[in-house]
Amino acid sequence: MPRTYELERGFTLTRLLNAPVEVVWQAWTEPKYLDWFFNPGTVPVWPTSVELRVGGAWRQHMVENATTEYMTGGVYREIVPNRKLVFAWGARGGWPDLDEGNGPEVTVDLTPMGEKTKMDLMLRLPDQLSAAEAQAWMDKGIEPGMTMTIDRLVARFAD
Amino acid sequence: MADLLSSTFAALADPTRRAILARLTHGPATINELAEPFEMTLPSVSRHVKVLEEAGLVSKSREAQFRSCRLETLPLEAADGWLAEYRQFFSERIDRLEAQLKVMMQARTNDSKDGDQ
Repeated sequence: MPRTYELERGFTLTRLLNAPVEVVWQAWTEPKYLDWFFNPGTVPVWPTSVELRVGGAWRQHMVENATTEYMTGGVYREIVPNRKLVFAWGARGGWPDLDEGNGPEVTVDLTPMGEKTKMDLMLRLPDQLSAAEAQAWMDKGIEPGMTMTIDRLVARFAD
Repeated sequence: MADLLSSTFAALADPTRRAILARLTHGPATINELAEPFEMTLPSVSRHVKVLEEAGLVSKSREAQFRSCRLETLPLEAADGWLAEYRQFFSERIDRLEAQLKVMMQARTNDSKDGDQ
């Protein structure tokens, strides 16, 4: 059964970015620019890798602390250079774990606005997930999200 | 919790029911009033309202002879709160993307300056 994403189980984040669309594209697709996807202040052991083709994987090592580390990234589903990137968010054996079935799909839409770029980031859960399965996916988000928040608050007050 | 969310999402999956909810955001309405914009019989509108009622999205007042329907927002808030953690994760990532873009743009400016010399 093909995946569908018609239920409103997701969200969209829209941001006007202070860089032209090709720079934003590089920041999303070139390993040397992808450090922003790490948690701040962590040192990854494995280098980030990107295989930019449909079905290819972007893999990134996340280190939370001495005891928590995982692979994240995505598997690309649609690639339109400088315009659109669609990926299944996560990594095999990582977080979110792509081995556990259909998880969240992320769509990044880029619209050039002169020297700036409007970015719409949409996250959707497939309709085929039951509420309990979707809840399980959601629960995976809590710990890293919270850690990020605390780190960011500390960084903000340190400025 | 999971059952409530399940019925919330099932109720929201239908465009007619979403339109009924949209109408109710403007205030309570009777079944007759809800049926007006649709080419639909009263019983079929009633059936949609019943699904919304079972999902806890709509309640009916018992006052007066015609019962009016009103919107209940709590299940919608629960469904929304569900995604809050992921939204936060990506929102924070985008903050860091903005910082990264600033560095890249700075490097570009420096490169073009070097090129001018």
